[in-house]
Amino acid sequence: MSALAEATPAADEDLLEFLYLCPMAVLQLGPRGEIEMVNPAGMRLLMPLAAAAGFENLFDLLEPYAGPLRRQHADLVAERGTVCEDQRVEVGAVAGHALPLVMALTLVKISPARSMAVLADVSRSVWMERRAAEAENQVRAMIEGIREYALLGLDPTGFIQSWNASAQRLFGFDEAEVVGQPMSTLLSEDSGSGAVVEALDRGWSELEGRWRRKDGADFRAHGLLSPTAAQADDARGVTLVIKDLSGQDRLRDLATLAETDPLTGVANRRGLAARGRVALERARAAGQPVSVVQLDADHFKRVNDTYGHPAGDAVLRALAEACAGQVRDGDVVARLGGEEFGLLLPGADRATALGVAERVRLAVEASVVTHGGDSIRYTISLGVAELEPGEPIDAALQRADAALYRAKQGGRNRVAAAAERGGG
Amino acid sequence: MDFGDPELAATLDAADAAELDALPFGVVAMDATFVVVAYNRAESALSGLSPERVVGRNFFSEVAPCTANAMVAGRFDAPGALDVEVPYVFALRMRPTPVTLRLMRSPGGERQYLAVQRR
Repeated sequence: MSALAEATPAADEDLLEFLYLCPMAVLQLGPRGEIEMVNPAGMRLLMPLAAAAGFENLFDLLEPYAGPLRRQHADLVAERGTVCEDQRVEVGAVAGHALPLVMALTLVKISPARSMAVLADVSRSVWMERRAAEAENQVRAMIEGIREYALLGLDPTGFIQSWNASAQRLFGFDEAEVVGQPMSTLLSEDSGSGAVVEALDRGWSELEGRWRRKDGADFRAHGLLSPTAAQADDARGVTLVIKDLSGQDRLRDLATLAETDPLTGVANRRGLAARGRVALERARAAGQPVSVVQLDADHFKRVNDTYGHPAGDAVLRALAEACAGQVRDGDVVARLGGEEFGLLLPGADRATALGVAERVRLAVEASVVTHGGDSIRYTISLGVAELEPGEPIDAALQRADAALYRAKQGGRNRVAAAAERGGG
Repeated sequence: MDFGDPELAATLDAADAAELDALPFGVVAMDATFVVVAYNRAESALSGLSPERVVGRNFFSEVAPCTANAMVAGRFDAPGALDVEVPYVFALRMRPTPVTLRLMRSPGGERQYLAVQRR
């Protein structure tokens, strides 16, 4: 009844088989790295390297890939101890391996005369790690490279969880300043919490409105929220993609500015042409008439000379207001230059336009402009033309201008209708 | 019978267990699915494994999985006759042992062979 294992041939075979079948490479080395014993997995792993160096010495085999392994081994002053643990051995492309061969080496000095080594083929996990890192870098570069978008992560209660360069660029906050803060930090009006709840409930939600930068400036942006995918329910967060719309606002502002008269705030000649084109197409498609009015402050030079240019400017602003006060939505008031204004009246025939012109004339005649203690009265003369079929706005304005001229000749402070085209 | 004999495969097909054991080089005889049907004395001496342990097992998955590669097992993929020599290194009893493998299958033969000779 011995508890000791007997040294039978069968037990020895068990041990042999154990090593033959072991899927990890195991080696015993002599004092200078000589391969004394190696199992088949070790042979298999080292065979592609062995062509030149043979199977004599592990340090010779690994020298091109593992760096100063021999010195590391010699430098271990203690007689025993770990020389390296899971040290990467980058072999690269070899026959019989689909992926670049990377091994992890653990080397333990048992005594000055003997070391044990374990080698594992980690090619696949290294390859996957690198692919994942590459993909992550690509996504990061994409996110950080796009200028008008920001991407950030929120927890289910709407607190900011992740922050990146795109968000930093848009909002001006550093990561440390906002992570852990509620998303209302980024919003001007809304708290945003409703949108987070809605996104978690419904799968997505939107957040329009004003957002706030670190410097306090607010801007218009569109936010799209969606639950973070592939996470456990209790760890669900929300991804928020923000599109900065202030660039579009600026463009539209610039376009508006280019079509606006800076003194009076009404359209300039370019604005009248732009809006006139649209109004004209629409009216013609609907079979409606379109009329224009050209008007001009009487004796405007005298206003300037008597009260000064600032007073003249005040009169021009008052005149613009008087015109705007007598037209309908959809009509266009424009300052065409100097003291000259134009009205575009879609839907108005000649009689209607004459009525509008007369009302503007009366309003101006009844008005008083106060400026710097002066009370300034002034009048205007107006010419009216209804567009004829196919007639461009410019041509109609010229006819209205000719009528205006006649109104001036007729004594000013009056309205004149243009002659019909070709009618003389 | 010689390791380099051109007619080796045919000779092995006709040999009985005693004749295989008399050979001075290792022989593993396998059926069509690589299950070991004979493991001669010389091969047993090289590996340290007795025939009783090996016969009946699949050679490439249960006996020598490290030879389940293109250099060795892959040579048997194509059907029909096979006779090729492959220089290899075995870890016989964990000692790196350069060997020559001769992989064989007779035309129409039911068995296939892996013969092993030290270099």
